[in-house]
Amino acid sequence: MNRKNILVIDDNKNDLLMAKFVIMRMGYNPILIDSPRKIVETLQTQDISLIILDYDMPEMTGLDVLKRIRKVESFRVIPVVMLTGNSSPAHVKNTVSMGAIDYIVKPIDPIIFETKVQNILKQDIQKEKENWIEFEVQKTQSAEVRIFNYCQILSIGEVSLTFKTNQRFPIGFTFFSDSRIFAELEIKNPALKVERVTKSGDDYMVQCAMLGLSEIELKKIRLYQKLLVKSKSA
Amino acid sequence: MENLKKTFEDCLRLETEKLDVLVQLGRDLNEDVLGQMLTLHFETTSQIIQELQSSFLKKDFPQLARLAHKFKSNSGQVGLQRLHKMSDVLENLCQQQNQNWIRIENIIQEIIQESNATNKLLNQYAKVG
Repeated sequence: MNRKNILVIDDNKNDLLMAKFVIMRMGYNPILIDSPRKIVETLQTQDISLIILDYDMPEMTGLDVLKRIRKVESFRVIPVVMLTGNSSPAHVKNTVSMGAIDYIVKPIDPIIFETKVQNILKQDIQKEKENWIEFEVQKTQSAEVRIFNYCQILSIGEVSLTFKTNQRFPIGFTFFSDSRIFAELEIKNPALKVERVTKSGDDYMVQCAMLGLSEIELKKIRLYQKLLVKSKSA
Repeated sequence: MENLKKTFEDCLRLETEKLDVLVQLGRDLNEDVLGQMLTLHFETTSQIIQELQSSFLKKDFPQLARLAHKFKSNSGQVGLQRLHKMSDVLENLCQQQNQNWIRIENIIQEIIQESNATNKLLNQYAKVG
């Protein structure tokens, strides 16, 4: 199962450990760092769905880190929740006005933590849907050509592929790069050819083989816009 | 100082509900969450107390405030309400313009005593739990 990664940045080991346990119970994958200096490297190498950021850190304040994240186009879309020991209205207002989506007051209360994180990730799933563009394929073109074109547009070299099925037949392909889906292709013709039919009692056994990519016609293409933006800014 | 003592005494020394939450978290994850949290708490507490004492001797206000802030969060996490309040007062005193050294020293001493007492309580809870 592809679990969402939640990044927690806090110089306090006790808070990191607590956050780790709560995130694990929610079924997500905690990624913990104790220094804000490691954040850019982590965001570049991991697919992060949510950042939980401590406000009071000695090296750099949470607000400074937030400003740094917001400067980078591809990191801007990641929601940030501020972890703070100060719940005064002025402090919270300042935090949210700087671009944090919410705040969690320390010491961490697991129930509040889980509720806030779950709500944000639900909104994120909705936004995620909006990040996809879908279009019908007008001109008959083989899947092989399309895949090649999109890999070039997205500057993607290493690609892995899985088949989507409706339990019986392949109905499309899903493409992954760095464990992340970047394109889904719905196919027009059943991508199967019958190879052999044998009778077993009253039942017929049909053996099929997949068509080659060059023989499959496409119906719909869905592309991940965030990746398009990322490839343009790169 | 007497008022402050009264405020501290009004705070619960150990809010066991916080520890119950950790026990439940451990059951859900099939891990010894309480044990791991308490082990880390004892380690960081003794380290912070040493640093509080050395920072006090150096009269390093910003560092004292940072340490108090960390101590506040750690003690709150395991239900030590009184220690949480003491750390909060210490943090505020160290952030003020004109520090009152006698008060700061008194509160550090209170924190050390309270910490020793609560460590025993936490150990007892861990054994029973």
